[in-house]
Amino acid sequence: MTSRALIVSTLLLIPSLAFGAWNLEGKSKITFHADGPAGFAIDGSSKEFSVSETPESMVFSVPVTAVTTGIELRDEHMHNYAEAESFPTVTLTIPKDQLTFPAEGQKKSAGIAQGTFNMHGVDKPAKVKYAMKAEKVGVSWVAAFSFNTEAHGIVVPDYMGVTVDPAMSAQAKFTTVPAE
Amino acid sequence: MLKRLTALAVMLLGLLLTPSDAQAYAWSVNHGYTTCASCHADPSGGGLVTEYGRAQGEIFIRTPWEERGSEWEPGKAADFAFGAVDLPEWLITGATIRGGAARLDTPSTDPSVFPIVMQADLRAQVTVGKVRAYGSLGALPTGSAEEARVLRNDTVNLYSREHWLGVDVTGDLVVRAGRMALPYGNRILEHNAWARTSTRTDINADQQDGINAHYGKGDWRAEVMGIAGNLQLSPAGYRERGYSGLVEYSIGPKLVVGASSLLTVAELDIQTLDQRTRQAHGLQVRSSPVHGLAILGEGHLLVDSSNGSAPSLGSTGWIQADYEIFQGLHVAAAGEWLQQEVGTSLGGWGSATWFFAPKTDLRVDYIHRQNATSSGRTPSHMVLGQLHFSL
Repeated sequence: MTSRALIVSTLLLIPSLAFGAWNLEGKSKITFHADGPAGFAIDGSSKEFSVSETPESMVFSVPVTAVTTGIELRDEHMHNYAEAESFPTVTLTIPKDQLTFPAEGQKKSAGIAQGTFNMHGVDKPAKVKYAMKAEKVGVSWVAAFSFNTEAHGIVVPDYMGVTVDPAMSAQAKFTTVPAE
Repeated sequence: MLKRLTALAVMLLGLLLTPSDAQAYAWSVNHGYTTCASCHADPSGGGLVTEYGRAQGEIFIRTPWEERGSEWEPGKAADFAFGAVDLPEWLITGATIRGGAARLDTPSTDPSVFPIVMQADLRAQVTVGKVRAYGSLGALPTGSAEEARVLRNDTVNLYSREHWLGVDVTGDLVVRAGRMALPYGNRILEHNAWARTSTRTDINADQQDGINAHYGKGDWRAEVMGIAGNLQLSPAGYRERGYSGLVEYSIGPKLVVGASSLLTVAELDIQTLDQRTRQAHGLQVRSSPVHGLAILGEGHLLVDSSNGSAPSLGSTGWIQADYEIFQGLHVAAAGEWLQQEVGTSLGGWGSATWFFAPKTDLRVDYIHRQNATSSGRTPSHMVLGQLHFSL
């Protein structure tokens, strides 16, 4: 349906850095937003979200088929547009040196990180706005970035005359704790 | 007293006997639809549905009896006349009929069941480039849809609720001129709710002529209409002139808040036969706090002035909870009030609607009202059953 829109979401990061690996804690909220004509909007979410890391970067992943919008047929169309079978995962990769964690004695930090968003097998730069808050154990995150599905080689979604704007946004809220 | 009660009963009957419009499902916010323009030719909803809207009727409105695998699509059940007629892209059209029976019980009337044909409309929209021409035409027994009547004889009224020319200036802005529903409050199906009748903003017969601009982009939606009056009323002194408008903001995918405002002046008000200035200003909300539940609410300040006298203040409101038990079956409870000089009337609605087949639904309402009179509140009870079918 309409939307088929697509996408994704993923997000951000975590601290692992020199402090070792981190795990997700509690419920993560991964959402995306797309607009159509005359105020029409599609909002989707994913219940699946994972974090991994390389020596240089944090990698945040969402399975395309885990992204849903509340209407099954629209989800089906969305997954088809994104060619989920060929490109099952969207990822956001952020170099660790782009992230600023709450300093010792500080509760919060925030910044803009330059990352790479991969969707539909195509990498594009992503400017990720993030904020972190130190919890009793671990760090809670809020992060957001914009992307354009057309730039990732995805056909502009159109269903029965309703076209979805390929300029979309994603947001993530999650908490990370040090791995035991 | 008896005279007043009889008048009340006649008024209630009249409200029931007039046609009601179809397809204005504000509870779609439960499915993430905070705006209406993608599904309806009228960007604020109600009336003719687009091809996209037809598909949604199959996708998330009716009860699915069939297996819906990954290859399922709405198919011909969503098409005009079930696909029997192929329409060109520049034309969308639809036909709808709504009928049933009602029982009204008031202190001044003997309860009786009477049949009702509420709606028998044809609608179409022709699009050429950025220009759209929309029209509806219906036929009902003489005495029905008087405000929208274009022709009549001894037995039949031919009426047109809506007819307008529009230009899609951009994908976000449409400007229309003609007869259309006023932008005000939530566009609900319950056209005889006090929030609609006291503001004269229902989608049944309160359409007026004028120029309208609708803008929707991102989380914002706004619509304003300069009202030239109902040109199907004559003499011209009956016609109200003024404005009506609303602005709404979506706070996330399942919460919309908005404000509405209306001011009209008539030399000879059709109800009071006085020079009358009417104002209504209020707030509306549509939300779905949990899956399956839609909350529709609105409250309005009413300001009324006749023949230059000091304005009298009143208020009205409506709050409804609609729960979708399973796809296609809705139960709803609503409360309403109307505060006027004579006192405060209170009402409660219980409704069940089942979209059990393509383009077909069955609805039952029970409406209990405590109507304010100068001698206190007078109760009324109404049971209404209706079958609605469209092509």
